[in-house]
Amino acid sequence: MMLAMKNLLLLSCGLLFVTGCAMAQPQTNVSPRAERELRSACEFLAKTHAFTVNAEIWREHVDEAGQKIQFSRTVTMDVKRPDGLRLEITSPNTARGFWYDGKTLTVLDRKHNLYGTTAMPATLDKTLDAAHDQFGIDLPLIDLAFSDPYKNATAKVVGGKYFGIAPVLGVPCHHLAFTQENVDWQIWIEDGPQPLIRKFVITQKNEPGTPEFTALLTHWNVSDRIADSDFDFVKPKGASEIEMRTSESTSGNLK
Amino acid sequence: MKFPFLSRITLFVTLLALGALNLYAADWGSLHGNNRSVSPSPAARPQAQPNRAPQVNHVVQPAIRQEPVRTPEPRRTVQPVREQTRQEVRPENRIQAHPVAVDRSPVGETDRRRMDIDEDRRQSYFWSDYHAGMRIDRLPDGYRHFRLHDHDFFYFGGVYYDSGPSGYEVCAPPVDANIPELPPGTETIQVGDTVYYYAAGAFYVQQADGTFVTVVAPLGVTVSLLPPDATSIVINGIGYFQANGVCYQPVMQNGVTAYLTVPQP
Repeated sequence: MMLAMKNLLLLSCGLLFVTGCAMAQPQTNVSPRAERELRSACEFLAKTHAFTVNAEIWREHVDEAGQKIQFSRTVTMDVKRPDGLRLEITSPNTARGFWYDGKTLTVLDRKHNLYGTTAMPATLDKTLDAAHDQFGIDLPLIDLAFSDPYKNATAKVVGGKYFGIAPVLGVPCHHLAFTQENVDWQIWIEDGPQPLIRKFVITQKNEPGTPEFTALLTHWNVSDRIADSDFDFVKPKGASEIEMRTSESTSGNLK
Repeated sequence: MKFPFLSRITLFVTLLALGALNLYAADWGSLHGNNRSVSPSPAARPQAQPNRAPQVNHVVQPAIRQEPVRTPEPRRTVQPVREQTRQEVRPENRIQAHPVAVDRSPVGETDRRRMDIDEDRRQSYFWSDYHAGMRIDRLPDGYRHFRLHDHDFFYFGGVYYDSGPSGYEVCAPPVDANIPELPPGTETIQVGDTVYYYAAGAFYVQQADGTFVTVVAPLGVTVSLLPPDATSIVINGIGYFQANGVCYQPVMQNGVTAYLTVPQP
């Protein structure tokens, strides 16, 4: 009798777990047109072995009075699949360079001429995960660098709509909007033989003031011509190496 | 164990809940970052509390000993006295309501987003234009006057002044100064059970009455912005910054340069 009751309890818990998992999977409601245009852009990007792109990005900060302040950056990004990434992020007050060559990730603070370097996995996908999880490095636009941009972009999407053609800096683009639990995002994809991403907006909809991240992408070059040396960090004259702190050393003490 | 199965379930659920709390960190520049972080539901988010102390979002390296830096030598005649001195504040000079740069992010959010724009926000803080030794003719409207260790000090917006023969001179933040509200651009740091607030080279601890008192700098904590009067030094080939008797070692944290308080090399 006890054994039967235990088995029943196990079965009930199992059913509860399965039901819970099924309920945890959100129902997606993505329009076919939005899905098609996004897939087209992502597949084009995934097939591009190497590319460079420039971007002007804005990040909104909501201050203590609730006022939104936009901080801007210019970004130049070079990607060579599967193991090359180069980023320069510049603002009026900061300038940082990032190099990944398939072995190490180096971050250079150009303003102070300081750099930190650390070993990384052999692929961009794993390195971007490791940079985020181990070192708290959240790089803008890295969604472009993944081997499967579509899978990365749609991992948590629950809804998507198509809003027709809209110009971005004079380029006619398909305007799409997607919903996730934590963020909403919009994307503008060039209408033409090269479905390039021209604009991107992420809205932190659950945060006070719903701050947004906006990127305008320009100067796309998908000619596959990037020298391997572009991804090698060359220490600037007088630069000093400093410790690259892990997330473990900077967190875990919260009460 | 009497209910091993249920106990295991309880443990599993508890670990899941703790994991969700610890993993939460919203990101900004990519979907990837947001998707790897765990966000609380909108209902679970705390509301902004503009006039209260910032939420804790800054922590320390446990491996470093938590002992105070040597008491900074206050300028000129000020002697380091450990006990809190009652301060005399003229009613007419009580500090005006000054905006406190409260981090509106919920507890558990990492520093990465804030740290990324700290340098860009710096110029908006009143104290960013002032450094120790700088002379001014008149104090800002709404300044606060207090006596500490038999010496007159003046304060406004994170900047401390003492009076000189030809006006006022910006000085390093004296230990034991008491201010009613935190200055703009305050970072929050937790060391064990103690929460420190940092801005413009001063570390503050909140008192029972809600005011804030400057204290000696804790070791092993990182700050995003150096004090305005920090100077670079090289000791045994290693670069440091120094201000008000506190030594800062630059480190790369969350992809930006931060400054770790260390013992004097």
